[in-house]
This record gives sequence, structure tokens and C-alpha cells, in this order.
Amino acid sequence: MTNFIYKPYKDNKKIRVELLKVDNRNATGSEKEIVYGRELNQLDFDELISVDLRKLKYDSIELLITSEVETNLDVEHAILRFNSKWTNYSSERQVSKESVSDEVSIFKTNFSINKIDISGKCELRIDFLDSNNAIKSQTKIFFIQSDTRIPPDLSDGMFKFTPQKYTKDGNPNSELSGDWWKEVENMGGINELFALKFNKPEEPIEIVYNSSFPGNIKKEKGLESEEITVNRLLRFLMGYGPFLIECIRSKNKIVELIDGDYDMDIFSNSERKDELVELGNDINQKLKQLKPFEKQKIMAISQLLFPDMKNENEGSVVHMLKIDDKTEFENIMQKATIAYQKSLVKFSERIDNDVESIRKKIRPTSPEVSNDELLDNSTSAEERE
Amino acid sequence: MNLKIISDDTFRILDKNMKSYTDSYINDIRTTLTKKFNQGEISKKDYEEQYKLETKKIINNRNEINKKIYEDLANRKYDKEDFVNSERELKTMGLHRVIDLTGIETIVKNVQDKKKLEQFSGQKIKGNPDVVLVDMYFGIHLHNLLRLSRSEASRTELWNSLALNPSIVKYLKYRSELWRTEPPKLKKNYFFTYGISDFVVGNHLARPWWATELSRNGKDYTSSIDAFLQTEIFIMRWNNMDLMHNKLWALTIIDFFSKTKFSVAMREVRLHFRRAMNDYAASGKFNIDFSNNINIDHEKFKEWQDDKYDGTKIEGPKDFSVSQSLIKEKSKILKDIAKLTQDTRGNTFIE
Repeated sequence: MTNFIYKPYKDNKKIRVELLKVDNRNATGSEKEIVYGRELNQLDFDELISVDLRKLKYDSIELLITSEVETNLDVEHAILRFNSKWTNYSSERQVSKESVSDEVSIFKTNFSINKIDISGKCELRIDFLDSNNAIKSQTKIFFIQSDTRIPPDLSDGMFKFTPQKYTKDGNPNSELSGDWWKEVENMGGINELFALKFNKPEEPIEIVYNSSFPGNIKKEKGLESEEITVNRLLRFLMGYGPFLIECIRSKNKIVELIDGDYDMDIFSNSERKDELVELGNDINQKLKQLKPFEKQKIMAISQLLFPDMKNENEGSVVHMLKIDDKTEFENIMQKATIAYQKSLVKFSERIDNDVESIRKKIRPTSPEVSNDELLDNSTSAEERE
Repeated sequence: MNLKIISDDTFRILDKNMKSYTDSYINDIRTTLTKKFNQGEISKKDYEEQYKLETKKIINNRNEINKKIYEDLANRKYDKEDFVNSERELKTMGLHRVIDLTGIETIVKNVQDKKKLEQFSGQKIKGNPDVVLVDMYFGIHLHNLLRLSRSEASRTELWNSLALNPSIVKYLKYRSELWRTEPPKLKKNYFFTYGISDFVVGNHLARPWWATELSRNGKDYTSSIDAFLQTEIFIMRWNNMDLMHNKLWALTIIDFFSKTKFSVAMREVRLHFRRAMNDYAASGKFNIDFSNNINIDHEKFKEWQDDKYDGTKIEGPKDFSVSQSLIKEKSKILKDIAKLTQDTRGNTFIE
């Protein structure tokens, strides 16, 4: 079957955002540097994808927004759309055409933002419309990081993070014991980042991280936002393996609950839908016997992996059994990888543009490196062949 | 009495305690018992005996847990370290403005007074007051007392700190138990907020505040009263829509629902007209009809924030005003759409 890509218009037009005023006076050079993340003369505005207001002292700012679109698209007018999700606040402005050449039409407007209306990561975008008000094109989304938010971390959810000093004066810590520690010692892991400790199945997997490891997870109170990002990245890294383990453990528990009594054919044979629903109901009923954590964990994972099945009569949980199928297993692990980032740890929401901001700090004066150049080897297998 | 913002570490402890309480509710198996009886697996006598026994067990369990939750919140002793004391940290959160809670005790007392509710809402109350009227009174008065900006109200830390106030705990108990014949199974997000959905849906404090903010017409809370009267279906489902961020549209839909005579049940309209509105919002015409560019006078808003709460004069900030004639004109557009919209049974919303 052929795959069709439905793309009615392009949404990658240039949007250029410049800081003009802070509290109704012209912005200073150092204020611009704070907002853009580097000195103005080194900045290529077209490459800028976000501005950071977190360290700027202000009540209101005025921005100059410029965008361009191909003249042959017959764009009549444009609308600037601003959205601050956390404050349920959005605003629009009609953007006037500044100039027209044979190739591009330039649209320009000033736009003010007041601190008391916004929070978190806000979005700016321009829609280009024709004379019938149909969208012909859009700019890229431009992000405005307005303040710092520290969402609850994973330790209160699916995993338990515990710090332990693996070494004392360079030697293995003699105060540590247990199966997990034996494995750390046997595998020569006393200088590594973390290990896993499995408690009872009805309790979260414990991620025991090595606090002797320089720069490992720190207490977040009083940390700068970039350091919090490093903490987050470490937690995300440590949580990925345990999440996949929990997917398998959840499936194993379901098999145990129904004494392995199921036939894989019910998933692919639409005539056996009733049996699938019956099995789903049976599992849901038996889940009630479990302790709250294990029950909630299984339900949460199944909904993360099979969100579309939530509203089906059989529910999501029964579909976990598909992990036992060789082909489905790989497919489900692919789903799990995305679900872990998108829905469980909400990677893009929690990290925002901080990774980019840290990169800029590490390399403040060198020219921008594109994502492709950052890859060790960007040549795909097909291209090599 | 000013609001103190609780530290992240202390909140984690409170949250864990709350979780341990809510995890210890026993399962309600009465539906399973009824199913078994209907399928002839147990006799009527056994069913009635077991049902009675189970009900007793559940009530005892919930009474015990709920008592612990309320007592834990109301009686917990806090010291200085439990709160954020650094001005820098408060500024990072945008919560450095002094928020005066004087008057909260009176609001909590009055919201439980049927006469006050009748007077405020203009509705006659028989028996227990409807939760809609309670949320209306509480939400609008809380909005007027706290004088929050949207930025402040978007912080979970603010709502979680407010939930520890003894008067607020009394309110949460009253609100959670209203209309319940059995003690309720309390949820964590009745008390605490964890994300955006708790602001407009789950939390008993933030939800009525945000419902008021999203529906007020500048200083005038009449449109907020009308919004609450559109029941929880409107408050929880419509306030969740991005469309409600458009002030002109929000005020128009409230006015349209409040003043229009529909040819189908109002519940159907509240449930199903959203789809028609989403389709309309996706059209180019919406951009012209409801351009979202109302100017906000932030100076006027700050003047209002600096004023003290006065329970006898409930007036919002004069930061903007949408004229009634404009709302009326825009209502006509929605009326035309409703004439072309059908409910699930194929009946047109307006004949």
C-alpha cells in the first residue's frame, strides 16, 4: 500500500524576532545578550529559534517580528499568533506587508508582551493568508522561554531514585550490601553512573545512582536552570532501561494473572473480537487483586503504549500480551521508546530549549553547528550502499 | 495574613502522605456483587447481606482515611524552613507579590450560607445548594480576594500553598462532601495541582478561579455568573478549549448560551456544540469574525491588585471591556451556525 503524505502548506517560513524595548525604553546591548544568549554582532537572526527571558528583569517587552513568504503564493495578509499555554492566554495581531519583490514579500510588526500574562514556554507563529482567508503558508514556531518551571521528577512516579556513595576514599564502599551491590562489584561497576535494585514487584524499581561519580544527579534546590537540565538528562538516561523492563514485567504479570490462557490469533482475527473483549474484561477484573502501585503501573504503561485502544471495548491492557509476539515485540519497543520521551518523562516539555542553551554556553563564540554536522556519521545505510 | 509559598521539599512530603492515604482506600466491589446477583451467581439474601456489609466496610474505611487527610492538612505544624524564604526564589517563580488572605474565613463561612448564595446568584435553592452555585460564589470571591495575575495563577506552588490554609481545608471538606450520601473517595488533585488540567478541571480551588478569570468582562463578573450557570459541563469541558483564550469569543459563547432558546435540551447543546465551534474556528471566517486582539490595560490591572478586598463590593479589574452591543452582534453569528448544527439524534439546535 502506498503511503500518502498530506501536507497542505509549508510551515517552515522564516520568522525573525528582535528585542526592541524593555519596560518602554530601548533595550540595552547586555539585555539583548541575555535574551539571545550571546553577543548581538555574532548573531544570525534567521538561525535563532527561541529567546530566553528568564534572566531578564522586565515587566514588559516589545519585539519586532519580521517574516517573509514567496510572492507567488499570493498572500494578502498575515496574522501573528502568540500563545502562552500555562496562563490560558493568547493574542493575535494583523501583520502588515512591509515590502514586495518578485521573489519574496516581507511582513513586519511590533508586538508587546507583558510579564503578568505569560508563563513557561510560549509560542509565536505567523500565518500567511490569501484573499479568501485560506492559509497559504506558516512560519516556523518561535519559542519564548518566559520563566523557570520545575515539574515533578520521576522519583515520585514510576521509579525510585536513591543516591549511594559507591566508593569511599577510592575504595568500594564497605557499608553497601545486597544483590544489586554484588552485581556492581562483580561487573566492576563501582565507578559507573547507576545500578538497578529490584524490590518487590509491587514496588517501583529503585535506580541507585552513584553519588561518588563527579557531576551525577544533585539536589535541585538552589541550582541554576542549566544544572537542573543536566540533572533531568541524567534521570531520563537512567529511567529508559527500567521503563522497558517495566513494560516486559507488566506483560509477564498479565500472563500470570490469566494463567497464560490466551491465543495470539484474537488480536488479528476480527471475527474473534468478542473473545478479545471478554479477555480484556477478565484482565481488568483480575488487576483489582494487585497492590495499587502495580495495578496503576500496568494500566499507565498499557495506555502509553496503546493510547488508541483506550476507548475500544477491550481496553488497552489486553494489548500488552502482544509483546509475546516476535514481530509485535519490536514494534512495541519502538512505541515504548517514543512513549517514554513523549508521554512519561515529557522530554520536550521539561527540557524545553535548554539543551541548545547549554551548547551555546559550552561554545559561546564559535559559529553555529548544524545538527547534521553534530552527528558522528550522518551517512545513512542506504547512501553507503 | 499573607500567603506563604510552600517549599518544594515540604510539598513532596505532603504529596507522598496524601498518596499513601488515597492508596489505602479499599476497592468498592459492590458493582461486581450486583453483577453476580443479576447473573444468578448469588441469592438475593446473600446479595443483600454482602452488599450491606461491603457498604459498611467502605464507609468506615473512607471515614477513617478522609478524617486523616483533613486532619493532616489542618493540624500539620510548619516552621520557617517549610516555606520559600528567599526573595530570589520567589521572583523566579513569579510569586514575590504579597497576597493578602484577610477575608478568606468570611468567604468560606458565607459560601455555606444558602441565603448568601441565593442573593449572589439570583437562584432559588431547595435542599443542598447545587455545586455550580457553590463554585460560582467561591470562585468569584476568591478571584476578588487573591487579585492574581494569570502568571501567578499558573503556578502550582501557589494553589498548593493555599490548600494548607485552615479555612481552605474546611472549604475543601465542605465542597468534596456536598451532595454525597456516602463519604467520597478523595482525589489528590482536589487538594493539590500538578499541571494545567488541574487548573481548569480537577482542583476545587483553581478551577473556580480560572472559570471566573476566563469569563469575566473586565470589572464585570456578570458574565462569570452566567458561565457558572452553564453547569460543570461548560466549566470543565469548554474552559479546556484553546478557543476560550479568545476573550471576545468566550464572552459571546457565554452570552449566546445564556440568552438563546434552543430547540434541543441545553445539555445536548453544551455537550455537542463544541464540535461545530471547532470546525468554525478552523475556518478563515473565524479569524475575521473573532479577531483576538483586545487591548489590556495593565496599569489598571495593577491598580486593582493594589486595592484591598471588600466583600461588599465585588468588582474585577478595569483592564478591558467588551461592549454588550459587540457581543450581541457576534452572538448572531453563532446563532446562524446553530441553525445549521444538529445533535446526535439529528435535531437542529435552533429551528
